[in-house]
Amino acid sequence: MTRRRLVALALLGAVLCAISAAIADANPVASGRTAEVTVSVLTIPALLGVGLYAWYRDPENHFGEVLYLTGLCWFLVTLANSDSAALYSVGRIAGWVFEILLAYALLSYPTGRLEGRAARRIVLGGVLLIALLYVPTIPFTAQFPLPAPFTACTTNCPQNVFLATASEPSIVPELIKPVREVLTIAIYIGVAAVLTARLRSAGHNQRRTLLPVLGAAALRFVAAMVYVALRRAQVEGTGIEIAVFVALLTVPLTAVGLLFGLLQWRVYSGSALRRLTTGLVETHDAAQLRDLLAESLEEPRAELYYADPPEPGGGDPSLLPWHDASGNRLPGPLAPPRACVREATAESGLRVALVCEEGFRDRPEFLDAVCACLVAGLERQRLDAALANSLAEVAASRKRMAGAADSARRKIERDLHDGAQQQLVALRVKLELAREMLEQEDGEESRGAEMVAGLGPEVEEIIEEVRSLARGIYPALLASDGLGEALRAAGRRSQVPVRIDVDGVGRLPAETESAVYFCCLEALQNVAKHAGGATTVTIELRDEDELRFTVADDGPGFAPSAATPGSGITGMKDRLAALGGELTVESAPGAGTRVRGRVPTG
Amino acid sequence: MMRLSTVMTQRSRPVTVLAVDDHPRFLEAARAVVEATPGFAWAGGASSGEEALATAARGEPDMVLVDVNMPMIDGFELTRRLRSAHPRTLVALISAQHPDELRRTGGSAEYRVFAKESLRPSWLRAFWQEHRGDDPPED
Repeated sequence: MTRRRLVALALLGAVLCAISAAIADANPVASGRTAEVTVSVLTIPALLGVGLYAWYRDPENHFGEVLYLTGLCWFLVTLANSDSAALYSVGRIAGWVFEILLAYALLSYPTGRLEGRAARRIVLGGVLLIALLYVPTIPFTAQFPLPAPFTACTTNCPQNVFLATASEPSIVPELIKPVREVLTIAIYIGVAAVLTARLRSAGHNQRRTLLPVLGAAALRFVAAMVYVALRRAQVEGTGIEIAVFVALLTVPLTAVGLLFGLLQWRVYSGSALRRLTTGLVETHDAAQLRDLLAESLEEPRAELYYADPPEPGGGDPSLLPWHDASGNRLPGPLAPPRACVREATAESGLRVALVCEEGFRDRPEFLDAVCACLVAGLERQRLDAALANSLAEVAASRKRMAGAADSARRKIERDLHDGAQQQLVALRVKLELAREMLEQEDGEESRGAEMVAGLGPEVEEIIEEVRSLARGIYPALLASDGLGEALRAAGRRSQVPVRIDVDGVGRLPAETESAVYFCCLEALQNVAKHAGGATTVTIELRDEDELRFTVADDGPGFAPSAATPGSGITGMKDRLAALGGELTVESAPGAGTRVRGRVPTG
Repeated sequence: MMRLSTVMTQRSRPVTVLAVDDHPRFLEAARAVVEATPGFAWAGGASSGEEALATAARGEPDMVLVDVNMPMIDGFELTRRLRSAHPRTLVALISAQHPDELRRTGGSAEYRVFAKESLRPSWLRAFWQEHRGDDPPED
């Protein structure tokens, strides 16, 4: 319902209320009965207001419309407060219709639809009763029965304007009136019985919303029965007056009861959905989601079933098996007799079924919201699992790649050592031999010997270059002796003096050793490149559940905010991250630089 | 007398040299150096520690040139075994690696390792004289 319509309908209600008050006010008889008139007039906004609230809040159901219509009918009823015979007669006839409408509203609460055969029969019976035993008597009724909760008038009330005959046929007061009053009471009892049965079968959550409605209705029917019975017994005085007044009072009370019921439901459904949605992130499997569902709905027996979505491009989703919350395969959701089952399908094809107590059948939109939460929860769990899976795959693949790069480096180092380096060494030896031979054959002055002698150092230079190249690719010492020795050797080659402090570090997996070695080496090279003025570098290595290293210099330092990490630092971070470790660089102008890293070794 | 004493310390037969290295190029170069050195004779080349031990068992060489880096039995281990099996044989450890990069574990602290490229006739004679105190025959 749009806001505009709501305002228009509310305005209409106010206008009708004002008309009704004016009519009663114009009647000198009614003006003496302020309490009755006030209750009667205020019942119009009570019914219309609660009807509009239900209509506005819950537009899917027609209950609001039913109640609003009942309120409109009550407006017609209040016309009986008039001293105009015409208005009075219309009002009294509207009273009959009103009874049926109110019974319909109570029986159709909260959906606006009549559920169950009993409810439909009662309403049908009421309609037949009005149509057969009330309406046909209109032309034969001189005076409507008094006292009645529908009018403030008690004595000398206007005559029925629709009276067509000179006098009432005796069959009307003698037969029809007693019969129809008994049947009316029977209908009242029927409504009360259906509501009680509904209350009894309802779960505790429905009971909360039904109880105020039933309470008001029960009071109404008891009061109505009492005054009808007293009137039949022709009792006069305060007793029947009180009964009539209570019967009148129970009309707005019923409206209040309905409002309470609606509010109870709103509070319950709102907090249930809030509990469900806020709890979703903490559930990690279907069983936890089921527990959350039961807790949120305050329904310990609520159950959750799901069917996985089909693989991409794979077949009919309806053929996939269902699972209960514990993951057991089932042909379909298990629902006890009369239980309420609601299904929802996610975009991915994931299906969810919610099984709960039958009272929820009246709340399809609530169940849809709950199902949407369940779908969202299961989908999130599935995505989390997929994400964790692919993260693990990425981590494993990074580790594999780092490992592959390491073994490639070691192979290149060995190839250089076994190939080029050995051949060069052999060449160097042979050159020296050639020089000696040339000297022996051609004498000390041999130009050939001199030439060959010059080649020796050149070859040695090349040997040294190949060595340093191989070392840079993968130091043989790292493979043979581990991190400590390899770093000591690297420290001896460094221009800036290096102090190595190793404690508790034994041999570790090759990928860990090489990652830490190359990170320290990179940090050492950075000291040489960027930390001009550094006088010492300290490399600290500790293995306590995880391998920690620190490369600290006493150089000029830098402001971290002003520096963008170069490819060296990024490469170091990547190498360590591939092993689940991390690297931080701390520095400040004048405070040197510390590169800290850690790698799990457990 | 002087001459006699000189003759006393001079070996009558050449110093036989076995070289052990898994790099054939180096064995080739070693052979050339040994053959070019007066008073030294090539006893053969072995490409592994096992082969060297077998060769030495057949005919004990006077001297063995051992490469440090070899698969299976490495140079240090081979030196230990040769010294215990053939105490009279002189073993020289050599390596193509920079001394700084020689593995610590298993011997580099215990043994002196020479750079492979320093192998030449003069070094060979000097090493022998230093450790055995006699001169190899002049040829």
